[in-house]
Amino acid sequence: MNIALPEVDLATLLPEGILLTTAAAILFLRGARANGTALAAAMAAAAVSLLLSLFPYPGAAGGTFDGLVGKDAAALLFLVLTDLAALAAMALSRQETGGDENGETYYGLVLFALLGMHVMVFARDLLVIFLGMEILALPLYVLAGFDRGRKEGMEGSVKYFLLGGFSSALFLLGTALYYGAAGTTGMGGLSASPAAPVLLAAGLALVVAALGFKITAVPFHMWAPDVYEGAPLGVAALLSAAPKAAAFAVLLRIGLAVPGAGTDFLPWACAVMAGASMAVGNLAALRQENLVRMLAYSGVAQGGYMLMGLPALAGDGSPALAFYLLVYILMNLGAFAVAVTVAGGKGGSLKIGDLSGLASRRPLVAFAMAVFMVSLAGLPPTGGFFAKFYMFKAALGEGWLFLVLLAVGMTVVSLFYYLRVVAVMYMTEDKGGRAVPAGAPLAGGLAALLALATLATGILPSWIFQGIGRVFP
Amino acid sequence: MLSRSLWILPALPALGVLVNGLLGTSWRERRIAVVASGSVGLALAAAVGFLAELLSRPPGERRIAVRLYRWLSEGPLAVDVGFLLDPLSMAMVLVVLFVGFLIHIYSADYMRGDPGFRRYFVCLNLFVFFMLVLVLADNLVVTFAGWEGVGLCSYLLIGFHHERKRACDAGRKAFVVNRIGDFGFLLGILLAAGAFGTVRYGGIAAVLEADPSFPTAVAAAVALLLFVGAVGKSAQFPLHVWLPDAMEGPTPVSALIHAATMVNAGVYLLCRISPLLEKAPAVLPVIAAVGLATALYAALAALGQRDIKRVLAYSTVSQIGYMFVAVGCGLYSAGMFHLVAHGIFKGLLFLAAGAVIHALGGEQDLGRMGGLGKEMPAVSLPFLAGILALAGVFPFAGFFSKDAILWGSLGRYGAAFWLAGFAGAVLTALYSAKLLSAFTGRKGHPGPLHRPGPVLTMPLAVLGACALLAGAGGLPLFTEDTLFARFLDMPAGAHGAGGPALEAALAAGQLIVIVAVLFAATRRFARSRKAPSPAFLADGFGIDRLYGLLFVRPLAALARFSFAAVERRVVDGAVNGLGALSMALGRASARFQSGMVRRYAASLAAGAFALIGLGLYFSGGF
Repeated sequence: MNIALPEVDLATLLPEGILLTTAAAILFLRGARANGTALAAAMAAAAVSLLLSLFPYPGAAGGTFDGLVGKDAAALLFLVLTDLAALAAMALSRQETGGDENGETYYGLVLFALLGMHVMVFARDLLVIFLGMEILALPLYVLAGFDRGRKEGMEGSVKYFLLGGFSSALFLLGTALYYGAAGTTGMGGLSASPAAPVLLAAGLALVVAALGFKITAVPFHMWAPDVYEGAPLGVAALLSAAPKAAAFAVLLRIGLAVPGAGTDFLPWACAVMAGASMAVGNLAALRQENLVRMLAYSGVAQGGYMLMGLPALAGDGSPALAFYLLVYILMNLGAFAVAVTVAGGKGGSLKIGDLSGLASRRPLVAFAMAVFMVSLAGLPPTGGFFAKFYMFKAALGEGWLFLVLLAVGMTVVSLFYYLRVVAVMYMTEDKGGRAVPAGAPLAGGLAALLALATLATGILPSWIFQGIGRVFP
Repeated sequence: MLSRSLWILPALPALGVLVNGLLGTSWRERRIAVVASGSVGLALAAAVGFLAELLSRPPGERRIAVRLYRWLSEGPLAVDVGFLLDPLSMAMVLVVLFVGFLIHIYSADYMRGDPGFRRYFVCLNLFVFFMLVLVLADNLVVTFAGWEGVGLCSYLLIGFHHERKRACDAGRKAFVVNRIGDFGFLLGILLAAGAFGTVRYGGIAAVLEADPSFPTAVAAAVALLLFVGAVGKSAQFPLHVWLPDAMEGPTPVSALIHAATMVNAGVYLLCRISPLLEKAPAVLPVIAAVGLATALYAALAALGQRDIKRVLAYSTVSQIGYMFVAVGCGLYSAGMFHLVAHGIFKGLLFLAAGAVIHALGGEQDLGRMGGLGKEMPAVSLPFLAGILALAGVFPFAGFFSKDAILWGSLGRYGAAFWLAGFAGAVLTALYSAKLLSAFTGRKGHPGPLHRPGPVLTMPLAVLGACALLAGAGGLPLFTEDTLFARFLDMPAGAHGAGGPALEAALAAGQLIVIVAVLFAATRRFARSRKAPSPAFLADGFGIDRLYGLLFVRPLAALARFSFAAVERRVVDGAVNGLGALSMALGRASARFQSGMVRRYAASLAAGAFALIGLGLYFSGGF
């Protein structure tokens, strides 16, 4: 009996190897300075992984494991994005893990989650993607409730776990239906005219629903505000950006890999989710007093804008989506970084009103926050403007006029809640507000760095956009 | 070779911002001041190098253009980040860097011991950076970027003492009023991009030159919109209201931003788009009228002030009005010459006023000054030079520039216009006398003086000498072909209502009147200093109160209203106004976002079914 062993090229998986080893090693760290060591090691691992994907070594790209794994230029780009988000989120977590006796495991769990996202990004098979989603989800369930002292944290963690389990079940069911229709769980194994298009459509619909859960697309978004609010701010920051990047990588792959009967509903499915997310996210954000809940709904809305790229894949949809993700990671994590600097242990219960008079107390922090808010609102000269600009242009080019009109209308709505933060910081007197905690220098430095980066994406948009465009064939 | 590295001019102050901003957190004041002043000083040296390079070329080819990179390219419209150094921008660059350098040095002493020392110099360097971007930009978009940048720095520096409520209010006022002008600017850019297919100054000029049948109305509309922007930035009537309040900022800031550089950006912009103005000459009278009205009105308002800085502020508004008159007469080089001269002598006057305020321990009321001339000669002599230049006394710079403007207006718009302009010049002499009275007569203040040190007085001396020497640019007298105009090489408007003889006679007459007024009024002001304010020319003819009634109170109300409206009406109104939908959604989500997991799961399931339904519909499942 001959067993054909798949060709395995482990060099391709070097970044993942580094992440896995470091994550496992961190779990064994003990001692007084374990927390700082873990942070440094985890950030170094993520940074090395980022650099290995950003400047690919020979053999960084390629397919292995019999086609289950395929790293192409687009996958490398999305790996860079997830690494970037994880790296920034870890830098925000120093404050909140400092007092915890198990603080070091936090960073190990983040690395495991990052590993799961890597698997999602480079997998070419639905079952492997599922594996990645579970590797991502399990650490996140723990991280969401990492702050055991907070009731909201435990509540959010349990909610996240139950709903995440539900969405996993949807994904598995979808995979089963897909297998029934296509005879394979691989994404390359589809013919242009599958035997059972109806079955295929149903399967893909369930897969998309489960991915929608990860990108907090309406109506799969409801967990987000509760979980963000209860989680440590660093975890909320991670949740708001990194899984989105990974899930969009999968969606792009699905959208690009399987054209034909049984899949032609995908553009419409994404368009509907995009419209619903923009409307619900922006309108719900108007009412929020809690900063983190506001950012959660804002993330729902931003996910909606990003979803617009998928119906426009035939045009410039993919680079517009990737550019939007990059800018989103910069500005959203920046906003969380500011939240960490001013929260002073308040964590997810930080109110927008707590920022009043910040401009006179911490002018630089306030300025950075203003940059992030202006960018999230999509105003020039920040990257957020160009993210929307390229996205709307791509969607218009493919004829999604009504979607763009809705998006523009909702962008105007979003001005009110984003600029309200700026108004609160600059226009109100400091009513003897809480003393700003000293410290959180890592988060403060990160906020400054991200503010500069957000401005830079607005100063060099063409250059970056063309660089990203070269990645997509 | 040198010409390729034009970016170095803005890069140097930007470097100062980064070094002081990132590294200087624990530095001593001295090092911060050296870095900040040094970066501007090096940029000044580089600018002098560029000047030599420009002058070494024949007059027609004096332009250095560099394109750094493409910022945006959409269809036929491409926006580059590019810089253009021609005689026009060279003149502005020199004013910005020269006056800026001296003010940086001056500030090192003036701001000593202030807890915000580093913040101050970071903002000041940042301002110089944005100002250079504004000036060097070769297209409207980059100019606008610099335009917004200097506005931001102005806002930050006006509200520098943010613990003072008045300073914060003033900063806010400047911010809001400038948005009105910026809105016009922005519309102008969009219209220009649409109409010309380019936003480059050179490109616009080329389109106008290549297509003589280009619709005049479009050119006029673009020019008028950009003019609205210029009116806001240069504090012209009716958008001038922010400038007097801006005096809440530290005095060197008033000197640099609100006298010598930023507020002149509007004049510079109009000179930049002179091809547009030439294409649509109907716009010119509008500019001239606004300028003249502002010049007269602000000169009257200046008379009504007691605060030395507010007198200077109104005086700035008035003098910029004269620059607008020059542009409105098509006399771009005369306008620019007045800009340069004014930058020097008004910067000087502000710095000297700062030294006086410093010496008197924060006293700004002219009524409590007097007799300072003998006590602080290192301040009073430069101040006198500045006053003589401001009033337009031969041979100081102001004489040459103002005479050229008045003479040009006579040629273009007739005797009545000239007479109004001359009346403004007499008013200028009156308030100059009022300023001068702080230095003459009997001692008006009790207590000892803090005498300024050499770091404060050295910039004064340099600027004082320049206020005298800069007039040389206006030679030879009574021609349009002055040295400065030859350097600038801009189109000269057509005029010539009479020969040089008539101009000389008029100039001599003006000079006699102005000197007489200046002399007599200084004596009178010095005598009646102690008198209550109405004795001073009926408190500026009650303009202040009228002004208060007409502008300040409505504006305060407007500000209150807009804040209330923006905060209460618009934000809440948007929420309420999106009303039915939002409320229904709010109720629905209140019911749905209940925190109950089964509801969330139901939502998930419903969404999944909806997607399946969509899939089945498309693939023919039903």
